[in-house]
Amino acid sequence: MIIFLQSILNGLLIGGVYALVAMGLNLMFGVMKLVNFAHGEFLMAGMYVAVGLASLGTLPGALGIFGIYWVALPTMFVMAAVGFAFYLLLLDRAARFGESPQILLTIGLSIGAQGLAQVLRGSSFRLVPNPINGAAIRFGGLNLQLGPAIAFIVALGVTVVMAWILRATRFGKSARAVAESAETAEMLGIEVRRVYLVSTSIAIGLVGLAAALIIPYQYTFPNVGQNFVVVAFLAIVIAGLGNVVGAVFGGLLMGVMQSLTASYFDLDLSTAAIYLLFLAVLILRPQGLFTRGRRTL
Amino acid sequence: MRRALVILMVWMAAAVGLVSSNDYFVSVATTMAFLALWAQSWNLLCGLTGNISLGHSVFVAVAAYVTVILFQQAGVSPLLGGLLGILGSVVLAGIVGAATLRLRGPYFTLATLSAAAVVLSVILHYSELTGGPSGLAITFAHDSPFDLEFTNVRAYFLIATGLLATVTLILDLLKRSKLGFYIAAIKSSEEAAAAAGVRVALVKVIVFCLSAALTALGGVVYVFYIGFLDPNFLSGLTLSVEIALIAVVGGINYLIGPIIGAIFYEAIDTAANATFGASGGWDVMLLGFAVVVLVMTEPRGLCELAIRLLRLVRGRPARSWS
Amino acid sequence: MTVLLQVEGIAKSFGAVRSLVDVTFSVEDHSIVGLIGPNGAGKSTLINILTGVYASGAGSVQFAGSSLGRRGTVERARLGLVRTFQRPTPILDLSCIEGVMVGGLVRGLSVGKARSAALDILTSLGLREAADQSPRKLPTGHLKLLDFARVLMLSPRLVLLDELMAGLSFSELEVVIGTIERLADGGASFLVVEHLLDVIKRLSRHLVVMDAGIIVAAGKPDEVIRDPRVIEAYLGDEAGATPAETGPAPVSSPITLSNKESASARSERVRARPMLEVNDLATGYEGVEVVHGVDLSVDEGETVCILGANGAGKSTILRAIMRQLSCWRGSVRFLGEDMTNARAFVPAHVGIGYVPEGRGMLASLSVRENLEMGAHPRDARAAFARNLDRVLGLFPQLVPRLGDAAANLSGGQQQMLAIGRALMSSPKLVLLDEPSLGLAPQIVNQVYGALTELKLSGQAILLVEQAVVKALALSDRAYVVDGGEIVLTGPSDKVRNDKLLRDAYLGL
Repeated sequence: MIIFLQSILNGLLIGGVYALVAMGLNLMFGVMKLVNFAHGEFLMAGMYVAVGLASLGTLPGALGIFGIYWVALPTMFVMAAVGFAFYLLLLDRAARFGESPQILLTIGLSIGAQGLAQVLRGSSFRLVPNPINGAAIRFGGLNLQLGPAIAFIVALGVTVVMAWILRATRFGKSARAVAESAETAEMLGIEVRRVYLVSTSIAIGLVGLAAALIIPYQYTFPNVGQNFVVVAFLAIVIAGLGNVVGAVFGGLLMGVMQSLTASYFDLDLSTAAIYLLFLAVLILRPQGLFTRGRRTL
Repeated sequence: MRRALVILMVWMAAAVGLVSSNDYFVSVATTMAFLALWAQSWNLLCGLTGNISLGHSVFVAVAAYVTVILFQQAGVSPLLGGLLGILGSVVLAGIVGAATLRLRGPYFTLATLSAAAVVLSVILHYSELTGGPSGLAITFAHDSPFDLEFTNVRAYFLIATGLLATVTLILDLLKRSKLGFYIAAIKSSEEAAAAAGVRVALVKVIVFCLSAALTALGGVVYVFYIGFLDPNFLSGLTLSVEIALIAVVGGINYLIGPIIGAIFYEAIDTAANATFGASGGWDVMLLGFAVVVLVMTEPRGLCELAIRLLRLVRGRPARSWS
Repeated sequence: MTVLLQVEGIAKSFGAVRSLVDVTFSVEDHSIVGLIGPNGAGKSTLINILTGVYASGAGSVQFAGSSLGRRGTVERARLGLVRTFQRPTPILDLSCIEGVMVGGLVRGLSVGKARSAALDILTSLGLREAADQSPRKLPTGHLKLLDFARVLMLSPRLVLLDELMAGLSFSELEVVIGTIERLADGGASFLVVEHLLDVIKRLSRHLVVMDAGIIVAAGKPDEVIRDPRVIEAYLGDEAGATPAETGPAPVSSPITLSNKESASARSERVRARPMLEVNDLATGYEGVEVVHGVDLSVDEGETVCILGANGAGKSTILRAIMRQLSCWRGSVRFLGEDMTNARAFVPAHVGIGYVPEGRGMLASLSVRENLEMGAHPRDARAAFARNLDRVLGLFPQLVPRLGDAAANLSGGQQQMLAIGRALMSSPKLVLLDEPSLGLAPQIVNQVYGALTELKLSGQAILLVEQAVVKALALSDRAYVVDGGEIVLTGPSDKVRNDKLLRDAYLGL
């Protein structure tokens, strides 16, 4: 029983990070109808930025063992700026190409970024020494790992904020309008390209935040993004493509499933099981598990 | 005339390979040929539907493992085992093709990706049979054509280019067959094809299976060339992405597109390795960014780009291959 | 005569929109049945149900004695039930003759035999020279003939033709009509959906008229066309005499009406500030010009309508003004500013509100959010509360639905919401594209009641409509478009009685 609960707990915590990554992915897909295969590499880039900042030093004093988290906001802003540039330089022009070239573009970017990271930083695994790594709280017989727990809490918080942005702010409503129909939005005077620009910046910013949250306990290396992005893709399809808030539940579900199957089954079979489940959802309920009726974002 | 040109081109490459005394050059050319072969087969499916399959490596893996396991454990000649291996891939393709009929765009892509991942997991799990994550080495006794074993790497080069020429020919002939007509009809308008009585679903599944069979064919020979089965590579995302990339970069509407794409890919890879060394990520980086530059310049691929340049130079439309 | 196709009680709804309510009719062997009706009557939906693209919500379809049930399009085609599409569907990667051969291959012919059969058909349709060319270069009319040829290769029993004739030259029409008549004599049957009424009158041996999802009349072509219910379906409801009933040949007065305004009429109007000026506008889709140089204008406080048959180019003009299409020639000026090459989000900011055809609902957003999106431009946000009050006053039915998703509203409510949303930006000019489309008569009355209030408050309106009488009653001036050109313009009451108007619509 303990193993079961521990698995679920671990899964939820990991799922929080998947959720953050998945949210950005789904935002881009929902608004721009773009599948960003390079999303994992933005996570990787964010991790290198965060690690770079963290090696400058951790904030002492009030933050205590949480000192390393000061990098979160700077990383997020840096990555948001990267997303800004990503849209302006590449996506804006590529919007006119078909779906195939866009996918090709992001795949090329993904491969190139991994290569670049290896060239600049080598393939070594990096981890900035910090008290969060390996720290855990025990309660009720369960092990609560601190790093993942913090990531989880922040992820939930961000979800609430994103949901609020989409529901209550003018930008959020414009984004939903554009997601529904770019043509109609334009006729109402909404500058669609501006919405795309901001959405991309937010999406990559979210991934930057996720990066900052995992560097205390997750090794950084050029291909680190690959694991996360595939799971994120599964998560968003299961949640429903374009469903930003639902992506959270998709991420959590993927985390829990990964954790449960790893505890009880052979690693390979559990991977197969997850993909098979995914295929089943895809074929039987393509609109996703967490999308009720018509939702665009 | 077109067909003759293709064959001529390919066998010229073959002649060069035979003559070349540089083993490295020949092996690069061999890899190029395999990649082109796989990209051609991929193009058959994905050029039709406009979807992108990122799971095609699975057809390489299934055929390879079946052939090698039968060879090593039951002494079955790869020529026969290969047929069974291809059959296995075709059966898998039939299942996946039928299951994904109604899927489009990213949904289809993710489904193919997942199928490859499932098979990879299965291969890794049944390690007593498949050698698990450490893979399988093919025992090499002596030169034996029936066992697809040759010491001289040029033999593989010849076979690979021969297969490539054959597959290209098959695809060209296909266009004039009933199936080819149906494929063209479906590509232009599924609705209109259905309204004219074309069995759209059946054609799509057949094309899926054919694409898988040709991919598998290449896979069987490839593993004997390499002499080793690495499951993470053979059924991995990397190979699937490579195949798709090469086909789209070359130009999916052109018969020689995948060949051009493979040359481009290997050329960059080889140049990067030569200049910066094989490790360090330079090859991957240059490749990825070359793709980005290419897509931004001419999203329809290298063949289109070449045509555009030719038009600029000659001032009149050049012949298009398709 | 045996019955080949028997349609009983077919119904179909898409969400809240009832496309077909109750359709019952039959088609016999050796017959040519015409199917006509105004835009939105449900004709295309009916064809899609007959070919298995949609499943019917009720009723049954019997073909050659057996029920078609849930069979798909492919099976139905192989049973002999084929169709063509409104837009041409050429097979781009094959030559023309190869595209036609596909039909023969499906029927079981070898490639060689299919080629010779295709050549025969192409020759009989006058397309022999095009046989080995690529369809990419051919005009629309020829592409449609190719589609026709392709399905004929199947030796079908029933051919559903969806607006085949539009775009064909006079001689091509003769060839097609001749082919259809010959094949009908030989045993095939045709169900022909058309807007070219003179063609339909000539071709059909039996005529069925649809409106708002039901069949309003059926019988011999001559009688059906004169049936008052049919006239009403096309020209709209009006208490009192409709144009066709006011006797033969109403006078067309070349002195006061022409296709351009006379100088005196224009100088009379010019006292009011010209708000929208369109000069020599030409535009189209995918390389095909659809609007060939159109002049129109709207002044402050005016209500102007654009009339014309389906496909005449009316909506295209509005979309060009709204910058959704680029102007190939000519100019668009609003309040003196040149808007010809402005980006698509600009019109909303300079004061043009738009109610597109089909309403353009932001379906997953709530009613209130849709209205908020209408108030996107900066000055509109300042006036938000005031505009909201005004809109809700105009359309009180929206008040209880403010929190509902727009997708859950009825057709009429969606139309009100679309108009209200356009008003939220305090527009100086409102463009409406077929607001009456797909709505029941009482709802149309409600919508026009609101438009009348709007007009009386001084709002400038440019209205594209198929419901002729309603539009003319509301508007001060009218333009009539036919084949992408303005054929008639003038004050609404004069236009209404003009013979050219009836010709443009009814081809009588």
